[in-house]
Amino acid sequence: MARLILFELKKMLSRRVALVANVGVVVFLVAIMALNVVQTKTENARGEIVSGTEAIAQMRADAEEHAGTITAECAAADIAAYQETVFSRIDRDAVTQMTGSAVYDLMFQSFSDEEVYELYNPYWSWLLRPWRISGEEPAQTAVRVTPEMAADWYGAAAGLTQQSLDDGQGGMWEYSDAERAYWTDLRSSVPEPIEYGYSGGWGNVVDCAAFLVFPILAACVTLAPAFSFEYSSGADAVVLATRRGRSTLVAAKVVAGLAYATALFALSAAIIVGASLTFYGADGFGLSIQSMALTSPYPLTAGQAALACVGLMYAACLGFSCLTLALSSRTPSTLTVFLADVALVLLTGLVPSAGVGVLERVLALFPINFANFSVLFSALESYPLGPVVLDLIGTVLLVYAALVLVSTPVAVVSFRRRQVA
Amino acid sequence: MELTLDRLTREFGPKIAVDRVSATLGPGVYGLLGANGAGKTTLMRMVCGVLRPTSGEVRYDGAPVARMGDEYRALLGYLPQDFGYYPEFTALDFMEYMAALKGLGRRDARDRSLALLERVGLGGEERRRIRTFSGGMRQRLGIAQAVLNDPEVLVLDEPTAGLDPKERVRFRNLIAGFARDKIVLLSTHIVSDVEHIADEILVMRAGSVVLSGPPAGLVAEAEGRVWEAVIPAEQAEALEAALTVGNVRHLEGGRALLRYVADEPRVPGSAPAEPTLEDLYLYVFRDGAAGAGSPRAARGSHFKEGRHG
Repeated sequence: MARLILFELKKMLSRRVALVANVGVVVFLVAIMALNVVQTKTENARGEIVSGTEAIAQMRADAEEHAGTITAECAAADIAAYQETVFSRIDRDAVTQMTGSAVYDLMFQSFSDEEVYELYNPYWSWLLRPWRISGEEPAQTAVRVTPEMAADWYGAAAGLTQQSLDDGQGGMWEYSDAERAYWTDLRSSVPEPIEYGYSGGWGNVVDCAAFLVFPILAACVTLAPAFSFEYSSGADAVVLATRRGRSTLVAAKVVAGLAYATALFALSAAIIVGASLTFYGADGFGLSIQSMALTSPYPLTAGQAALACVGLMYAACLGFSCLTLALSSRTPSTLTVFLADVALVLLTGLVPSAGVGVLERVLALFPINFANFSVLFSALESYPLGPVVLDLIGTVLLVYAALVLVSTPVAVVSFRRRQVA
Repeated sequence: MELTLDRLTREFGPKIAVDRVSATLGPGVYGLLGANGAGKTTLMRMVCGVLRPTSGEVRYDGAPVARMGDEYRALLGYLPQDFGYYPEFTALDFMEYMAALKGLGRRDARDRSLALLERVGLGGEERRRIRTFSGGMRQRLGIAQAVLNDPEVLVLDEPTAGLDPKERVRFRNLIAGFARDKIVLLSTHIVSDVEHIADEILVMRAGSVVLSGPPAGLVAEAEGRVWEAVIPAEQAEALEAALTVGNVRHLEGGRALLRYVADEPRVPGSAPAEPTLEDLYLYVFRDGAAGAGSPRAARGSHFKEGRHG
């Protein structure tokens, strides 16, 4: 069996197309992660645009300035301090009548560049998030927040989930009672107090996880001929007439295929995770996911969220690998198999949901769509299956596990029953 | 050791590729002769278990091979027509891969692979990629893989395709060497490939075995149906179109010696000639029939029915 697996790996990887696809993907990921670091830009306190590692250091410093445990008292005190600073120089009532850009200009007229820089620290918009209306400047939100409201900061933060449920994804989806209960319960399980701080490395892993569709596609390119080449080349007649041709060989093909897909995925994930953690830092693993997005109802840490995202991409990788093997076992056309993979892995990212909730939920199951922080952890994508409600994470795992469990036997049985006509 | 083909039939939609073929094969070399589309390849695929018969079965020592599964395939060596290979593999990779599929141990696989490559004339080429091989070299590689497991049943489908005359001779000697105490079934449409090494010939036409027996016995079937006549050379072309001509040899003085098969002399001055297996083959296929499969209503007729019916 071990020798057959090695031969199958050699068969798969010695094809020129497979070589180009695999080497190309690795080179692409290295290049894109290098660009990801080099192209990172932010503004420093002097109003200068800095990039690369300097920008990353600046973002880290900004987050660490407010790092710590955000108790309700701390949140209320920080909001009060912000209001006091901002409204000491600008008219509180006037801000409510102004547009966002007018308030932005007013901030620069009323404060020095360094002071404006601090007042636009992402921490403030994060802290005021429970009351923020889309398009609003933090100062405008702060106007409406009373000390009583600030004192119930955690209640307001939990209310974000209720707002999202009421909003129903902009009218696209009407949540059932079971779904509402699911999300409410999940939100209530978020540990308090929230730990705020810098978790740029883990955040970058989630931001770049969508690039993992390319190794998935490369795995599909490599696995597409696994069975179909045997048919199209006529080698099936030779191998199927051997002692192990209808038994061990099929198992060896599946094991080799999945081992290869796992190795390629692991290498690709190592490039993304390694580059992210090396350049953005590995600190912040234990920070609450809410420190990245307060709207998230998940009781996860930033590091767990990043690993969950990569794990789901791996599930998709295995699912598509098995699907490719199944398709390959059913047709002699490698191109047909490859085109089906491209359509499912890449083109699903181009299909608009057009405001249709069901379509949105179907599309969210494809890796190019779910490898996104907002879709995965904040969008409240739920799938009511009778009385049971699954979230996107659970449904993705279920769908790809089902794909593996259905596709693998299809591939095995199809090859074993192959008739050379 | 006995391989039984029991009313083997294979239909593809309305076409019958193999029609109730029955035979019992003991150790020896069996030459399966037939025109393209006669059903040889389909029959061999069924013998090798890579194509399920529509009806009938193959038995090895009385046991249905479909039920024997891996046990039967362990006894089998098969070189299919249009032998598929892996272009990026070297000859040795391919042999070792096939050895692994046939269940040989690692060391045994290496030793046998190198020995067989040497034996088929590919010694020194074992590290070359198969895609750089000529057609003849690939065919020899195919023959080598077929005998890797020292099979009891060796099935060779058109094994001489792509071989030059020298390689054909070498192939015949190879088969003769491998064939001892084995059942060897080899198909060809080239009579000379089998007439000297086959213990028995099976002639297929339109999916049926229309004639079978030892070569000498079969040749006798054509006794009195092979004729030679000296004709003016300018008539040769017209007679070739009208008769089943085996050979035209141009002589001096604008004449030609015409050899043809027919139930009766068809050219004035014809004299009976000593028949060969090729003459018999020409006689059987003289109608140019034997398409790839035929409707059940038009089953291939038996040789004797064709002659007398």
